[in-house]
Amino acid sequence: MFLMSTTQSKDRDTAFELYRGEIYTWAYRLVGRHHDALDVVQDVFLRWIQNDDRSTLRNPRAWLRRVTIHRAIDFARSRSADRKRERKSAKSEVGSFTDQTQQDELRADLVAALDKLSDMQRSVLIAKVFDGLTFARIAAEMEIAVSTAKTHYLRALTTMRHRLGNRWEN
Amino acid sequence: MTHDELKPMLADYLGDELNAEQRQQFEAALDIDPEFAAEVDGLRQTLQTIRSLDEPVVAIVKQDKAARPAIMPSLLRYAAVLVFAFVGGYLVRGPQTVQPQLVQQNNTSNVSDWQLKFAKRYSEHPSDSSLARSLVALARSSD
Repeated sequence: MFLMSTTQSKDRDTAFELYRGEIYTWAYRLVGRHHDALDVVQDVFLRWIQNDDRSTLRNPRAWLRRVTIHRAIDFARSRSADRKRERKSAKSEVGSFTDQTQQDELRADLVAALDKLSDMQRSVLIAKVFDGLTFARIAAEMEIAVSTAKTHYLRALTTMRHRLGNRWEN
Repeated sequence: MTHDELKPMLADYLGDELNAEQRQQFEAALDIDPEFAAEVDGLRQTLQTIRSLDEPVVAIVKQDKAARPAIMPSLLRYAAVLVFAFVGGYLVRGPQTVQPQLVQQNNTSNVSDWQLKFAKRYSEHPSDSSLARSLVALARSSD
């Protein structure tokens, strides 16, 4: 019994280790800071080991992507006030901060727009844009039809365009 | 290609899943449907913006590596190893190896028998520590 649980636990940890780099990358793109991304990875790991169904997951990568994006958005939202303050002080300093500030603002807008998407739309969009997966692969990972994956993708893009378009015009 | 034919291809077009020929047909059809072309263009710009988040990951990782100060240039590192080896070797073995060699040299080449006898006699009579007395004693013993 003990041996079995140890083996299972090892397999689960191995699965997490396998995707740890990707988890970091997903998180980093949304939170934009190395240490914040590491915090998200740690948080996802905690959720991973707390998930009793993880050994029966057919596609742990899809699960990890979904949870990571969700956690990263939460994290970015909770930090947005700090970031605004940082951006304000960065603006008042010399121009070397300008690029980073713009990137931070863009990231904040993107995260806010992503937050408004449905879980499926977000997962499909990230899998397509960040991971470069084909619709067929995404559909297989998420156990949906290819046409459904395409629909989620288009809806996600359309929603993002409307939300981001308004902000950028301002 | 009509608008109704174009629409189902939109996801594949924006997802880079059309082959070259299909892509060309799609783009040619956009030219005669400006309204749809504007919509596609807006979505493409949105995609580019989302993709732009991809770049800083690599840049920041490189920056982190560059920002991390190199502990020592390699040449300096080798020099430090040599110095440590030399000093360490001297501290461990230096005093025991150098001295016997000197004594041996003194016994064989630089010190004459007379000088050795003088030194021995001088050390045996510390109370008569004048050079003259030692010399007398030495002369007597050599007779």
